[in-house]
Amino acid sequence: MTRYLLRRLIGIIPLLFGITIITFAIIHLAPGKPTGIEAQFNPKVSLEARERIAHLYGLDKPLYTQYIDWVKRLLRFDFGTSFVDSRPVMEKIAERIPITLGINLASMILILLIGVSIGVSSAVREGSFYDRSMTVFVFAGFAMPTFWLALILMDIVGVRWGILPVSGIKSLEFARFGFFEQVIDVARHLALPVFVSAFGGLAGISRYMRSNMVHVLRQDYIRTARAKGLKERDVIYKHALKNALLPVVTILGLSVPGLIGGSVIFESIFSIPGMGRLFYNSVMARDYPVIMGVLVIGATLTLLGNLLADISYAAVDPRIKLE
Amino acid sequence: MITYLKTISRIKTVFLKAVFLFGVLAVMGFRPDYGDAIVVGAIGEPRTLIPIMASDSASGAICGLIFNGLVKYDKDLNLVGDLAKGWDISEDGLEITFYLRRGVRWQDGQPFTARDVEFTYKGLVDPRVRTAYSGDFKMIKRLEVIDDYTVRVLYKEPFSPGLSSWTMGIMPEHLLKGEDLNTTRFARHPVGTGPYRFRLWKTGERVELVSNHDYFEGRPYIDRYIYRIIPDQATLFLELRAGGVDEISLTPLQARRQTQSRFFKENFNKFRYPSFGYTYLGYNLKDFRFRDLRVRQAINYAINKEEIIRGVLLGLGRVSTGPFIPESWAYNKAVKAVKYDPEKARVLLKEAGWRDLDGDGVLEKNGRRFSFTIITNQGNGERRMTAEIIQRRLKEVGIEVKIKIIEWSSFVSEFIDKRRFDAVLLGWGLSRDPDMYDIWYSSKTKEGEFNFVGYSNPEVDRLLLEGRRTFDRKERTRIYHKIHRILYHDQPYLFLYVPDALPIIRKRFKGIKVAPAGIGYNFIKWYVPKAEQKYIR
Amino acid sequence: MNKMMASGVLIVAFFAIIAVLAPFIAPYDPGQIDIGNILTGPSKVHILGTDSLGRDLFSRMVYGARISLLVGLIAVAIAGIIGITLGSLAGYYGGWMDIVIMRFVDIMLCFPTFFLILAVIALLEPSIVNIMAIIGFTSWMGVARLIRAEILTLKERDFIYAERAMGAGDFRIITRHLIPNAMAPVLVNLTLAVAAAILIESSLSFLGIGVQPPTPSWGNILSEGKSVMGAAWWMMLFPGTAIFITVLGYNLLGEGIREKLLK
Repeated sequence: MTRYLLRRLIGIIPLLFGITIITFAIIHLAPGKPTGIEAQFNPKVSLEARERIAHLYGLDKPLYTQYIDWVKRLLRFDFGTSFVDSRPVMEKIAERIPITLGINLASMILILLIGVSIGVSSAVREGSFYDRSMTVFVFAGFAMPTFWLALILMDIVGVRWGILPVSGIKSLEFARFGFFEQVIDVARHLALPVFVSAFGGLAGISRYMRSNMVHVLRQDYIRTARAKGLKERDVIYKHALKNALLPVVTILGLSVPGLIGGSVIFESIFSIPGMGRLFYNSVMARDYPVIMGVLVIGATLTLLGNLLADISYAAVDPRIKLE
Repeated sequence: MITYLKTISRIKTVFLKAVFLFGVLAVMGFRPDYGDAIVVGAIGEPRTLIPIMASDSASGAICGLIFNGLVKYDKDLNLVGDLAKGWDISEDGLEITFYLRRGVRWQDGQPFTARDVEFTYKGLVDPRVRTAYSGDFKMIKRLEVIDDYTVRVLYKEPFSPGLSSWTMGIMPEHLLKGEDLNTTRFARHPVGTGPYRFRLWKTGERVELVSNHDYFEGRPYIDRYIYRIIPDQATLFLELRAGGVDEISLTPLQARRQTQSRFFKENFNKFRYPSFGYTYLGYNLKDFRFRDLRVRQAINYAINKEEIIRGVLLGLGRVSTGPFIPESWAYNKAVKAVKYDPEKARVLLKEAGWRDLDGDGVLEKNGRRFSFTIITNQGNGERRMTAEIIQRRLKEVGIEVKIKIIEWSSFVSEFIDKRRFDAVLLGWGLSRDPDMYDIWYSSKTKEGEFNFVGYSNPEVDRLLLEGRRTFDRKERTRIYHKIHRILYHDQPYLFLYVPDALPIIRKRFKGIKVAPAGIGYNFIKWYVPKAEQKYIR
Repeated sequence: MNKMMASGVLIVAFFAIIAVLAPFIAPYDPGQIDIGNILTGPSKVHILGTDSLGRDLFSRMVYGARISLLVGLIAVAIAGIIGITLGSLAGYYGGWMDIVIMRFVDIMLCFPTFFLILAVIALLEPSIVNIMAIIGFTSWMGVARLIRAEILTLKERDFIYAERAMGAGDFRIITRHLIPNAMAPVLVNLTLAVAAAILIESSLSFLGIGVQPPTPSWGNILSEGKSVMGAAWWMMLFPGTAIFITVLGYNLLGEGIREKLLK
């Protein structure tokens, strides 16, 4: 087991290496220059000033030198500073991760709870009207363009009814609220975003759960359990569910990287200061250090998530042995 | 046009009423109430709150409330003293002596002195500092501190835009000395001399300022200024309706179609004035088709600017004939826009040798079809729609237009900087000083410089230099009026329109008055009567 | 054919017919600007209203169906070709070929799809062809994994040994026997991918890097609808509903196929 782990971890290194080289190549080959200064296209900004700034950022060095410099700094866990506002990349990422992580966790829990229940109940009633309407329901969530649904809900719930805030993550007076009020305030702000993102993500888990469950319910041991005269409820919830849930564990491992990835569209619409906006703005401003930072962290998490998925699958399923 | 005049007169009556009311109240010894907060919603996030590095509009707006320059523009766009209470310009125009206000304190209690001016100047010309504004300050030969309250600036040559460059926010030496301006934490915790002091900055959410009770022009009435970042236009508008923000800038469509209901009339005041910017179609003058003046003039006749303003801005803008702020002294009102006249355009094109010989509806000359591409940047619906209207109108006079929309960063570095375009649809923001040396001077055509259309007119070159050397307002007026006339004749750009700025503000804010400078100039005098205050601490 | 699949087929066919017959269905030229008729609501003249340049929304929706479906189908065709080729090579030959290809798949999966799309669009410029290509190039990995897994099990079957014994070459075995037998799950995956591609195009349009106007696509009409939200409900309702129903249709079709083929 330890040897397996070690081998997998070492295997990650060349992958990461490949990823950084590809990324570095893509962002430097893409047309356009860092717009930290040029953004406003301002005639007061002289050519000389712009060249000077490019020099200060080290952009006039050959590409491979820039890459080597970057790797050297990375080995010391230094991601450099942003071209846009000169703040350390780590700081910029660190202030956004909790927000994105929080929202994604909340919606993932919601997806799991609802998705698993829909999946199981559909499987038990396979082919019924309920099963079919649930299928349409979860696909409807997938099929709605996120921003479309979000704007419609904001207009109805936020503006017309005025029962939830339209956007943002906290009220202006947040700091003066008591603890309980603060919790409620955040919950009110996040209700719409979490609902929208959960509705969109329901299809995956619930369909997966349904087909697992259908499969399990046809197995011999379920038939045996039924034949033994166990109550149907016990058959489904004690025997079948346990086995059908196993593969879901893999999915959880695979969704670890997704937890820190945000969607720029979703975050723009709800004005949430998350990772998606940071990344999008960085790409648009050609803020190389931030782009590299976000991608390296994302890629590392993805690779670790894959590993985690494999390990946890082996841990819960004794039939699988890691070698 | 008629609706335009109507609205103007309506604004005028409202305005007169307000002035009258204000006068009456003043006589009665009326004093506005302190308190409340204003929440301004905007799309952009500021980058830094160091004034010499703030080159985006969001940073600029916030820095403007925290810091002061030596001079500032008043409501009629005249330069007046700010941290300087006065100044002298020597006969030869080489020296400006600033006399600073006494008794001004930084928001941390330290006194403001000439040392701070010197420090700011040194930062501006330091090659290691990533400032974008060094250009104007490079013209300075030396800056002398005469005493704590007198600064003398010596220029290498007479440089009239120099005075307006001192609107640059002055930074505190005692807090920044020895700091690396590129990375200092001051950028997110600024201390200035201005009417508002910094309180907090939540990245991607908001920047919050509180009023400076010791401000040298008096304590602002509104206690808090909150800049909320809402990156989507549709959300911004929903927040305005829901009460989450108090002030935003409307799009023309929102101003015309979405804010006419009773709800809006009862709860909001809308304002309208020409913005400091214009939209144009710039030709690549190296291109053989556009080198011909008759072709450029023909296009000017073939495009109906009124139609563009009606279609794209829903009438909320005005035709522009030259590169100056329409309300400023530099703008030559005698330059009249030509009337839309496609027939005349056809005649001019014919004179220039363009004829449709093969009958495909597109003109040819020497075997080449008159077909060109307009490029513009992504994310600007107004420009896209303008390009589409131009495309249709030019088709009617036998010119085929293709439109290409390109993402901003590559648009600038791959197409504009490298001169890879036939024609470009863009806008310029306008600075208060009319000096346009960097845009029109014939030598400013290197990669990355701003005369990217390649305009060259010795007369304009001469006038541009003269304009920078002249301090006398009357003289300068004459010079820039002449430049305006020549540029309109030469048509290096097809000048299109100046869009209106369309701020909308909750009715509880009083004391707002539209002037040539817009509405923000008297922000510290805005107030909310006690009974209507919303945010009570 | 079950009900789910039937409704999927119906929806998909309905919009496909509209797309094919666009020039006969659209009452107006979708590019005809009319400044006098900006954003007028649905009426007898313009049954779905007009957009912000006074163009007929119905005609734009009809032509938009063409573009949106084309983007979806071609993008998926590209993804399918790449995925099937690489997946079957990896699965059939194994060894270093398998390692190289699957590592490449891993690397591609590490990038947020969205980043790759953004980067390539900045590199290329958002023409319709490029958008199809980019969506295709960034969504083949699932197909590759599926087909590889299928082939890994198939190639050990007796009938493949029999083929080989009869002297069939690798190419023949892969294209005639392995791929057809491994296609069922891939077909499901590809059908669902069409739905996803249509949604991706609308997201790109939201960010202003989708299909560029004046060419209408459902995505760019919807994103224009967003900017006129509140002043013109029809600009958001109709394209949004069209996308919604179509994507739903492809999903139902995909699920239907799955139930039929993979029982």
